[in-house]
Amino acid sequence: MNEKKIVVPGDFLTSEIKKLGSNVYINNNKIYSSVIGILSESPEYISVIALNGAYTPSAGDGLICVVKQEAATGYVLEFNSPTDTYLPKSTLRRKLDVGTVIFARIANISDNDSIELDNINILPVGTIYSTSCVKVPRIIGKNESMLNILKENTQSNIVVGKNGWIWFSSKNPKLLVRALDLVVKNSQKSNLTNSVKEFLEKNKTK
Amino acid sequence: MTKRLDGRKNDELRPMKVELGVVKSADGSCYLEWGNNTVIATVHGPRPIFPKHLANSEKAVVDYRYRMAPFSVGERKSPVPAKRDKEISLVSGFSLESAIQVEKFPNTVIDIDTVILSSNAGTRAAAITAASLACADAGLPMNGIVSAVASGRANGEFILDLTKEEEDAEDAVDTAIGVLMPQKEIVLLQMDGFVKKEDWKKMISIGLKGAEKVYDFQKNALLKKYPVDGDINE
Repeated sequence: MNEKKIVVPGDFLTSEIKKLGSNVYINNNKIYSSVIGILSESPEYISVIALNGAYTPSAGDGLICVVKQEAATGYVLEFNSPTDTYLPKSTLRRKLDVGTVIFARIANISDNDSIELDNINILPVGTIYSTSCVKVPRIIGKNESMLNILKENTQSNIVVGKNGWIWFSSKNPKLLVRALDLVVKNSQKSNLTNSVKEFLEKNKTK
Repeated sequence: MTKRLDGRKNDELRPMKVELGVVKSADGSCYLEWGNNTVIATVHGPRPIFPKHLANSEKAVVDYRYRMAPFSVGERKSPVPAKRDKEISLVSGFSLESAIQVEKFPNTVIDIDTVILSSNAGTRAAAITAASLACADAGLPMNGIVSAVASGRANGEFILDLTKEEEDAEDAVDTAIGVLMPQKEIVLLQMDGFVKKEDWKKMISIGLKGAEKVYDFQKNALLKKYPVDGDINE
């Protein structure tokens, strides 16, 4: 694996013409980084993978949401984002209580930034682990490798939302939270999956 | 050239110490010791803005708060925000707004709170330096980092990063400079005292060089938080 390079906001990246990925901006035909993150560069594409940040909704994302408030014709949902969303009662078959956790997919984002949800699933009693949305790719891993390791070694049921909220019900919740903390804290390092596997196997019996 | 009271050179900064992510409930935070100044800066947001009529549908509102703790100065300071606190909050907010890409978060607010725990001149510069690190720590998209420093004149010498004793000199002039790095755009400029035009230029050039040193320090602080190699442990 090639060495990872960390860049900070305002760092000059390149003066070549490249396709712009996330977290970069262009000024006077030069490309700069706009967040603290890991540089990811290829001959025709450049982007920075952020190490922290707020979630911005995009269509197709699966989210963990919590019912925050009930209004006359729908529910206000919060999902670890600068803005809340509204779910009309007409799309639901049953009544929701405040505090219910649901998993839903963003069907569409309209012009005035309001979000339409579909594939709504009500999750049973569990716990939510909250982190930044930028850590989610590391928690899932390549081909869900990390997620499977976490599930097997702690006998858990885990649902990961793209918004950085992770719902779980586990037989060993303390170990799972410790493992998730480990992933979040070391998300910029290489070879994380093997280290987490070792960590879980070492601490499983305790 | 006479030596300064604490033995520094004229263009030398006071020793700095920094820690990021000290406030767990905040999205980003920074603790900064700069000489005898101590600052804690936190960033919350972007988050929904209340009351709604304050919202801007084109960009995020930056709500910067500069406050001095009652115990930060020799004699007790009233915790009621004074005119000075409000003015510094306003201009420092503008300087950070020029660094943050606010147009990406319409109808929201970014709350930046800085508290001075201990003060010894140059607190607004320390507060902006810490706040800008906290913003970067929170992962806000920014065009650059704001580095702020004070430069000025005391006893006929042009010096960088004045202490309280130097600020109390008879002919003292004090300029706070905030620079958006690495673009080197001046985003904050305030001055106390009377000065000639040539002397003013000297003070600015000292300040700009000082800001570069502060920027190097800020950059190292950010890189130190995320070590790429090393063992993976709790």
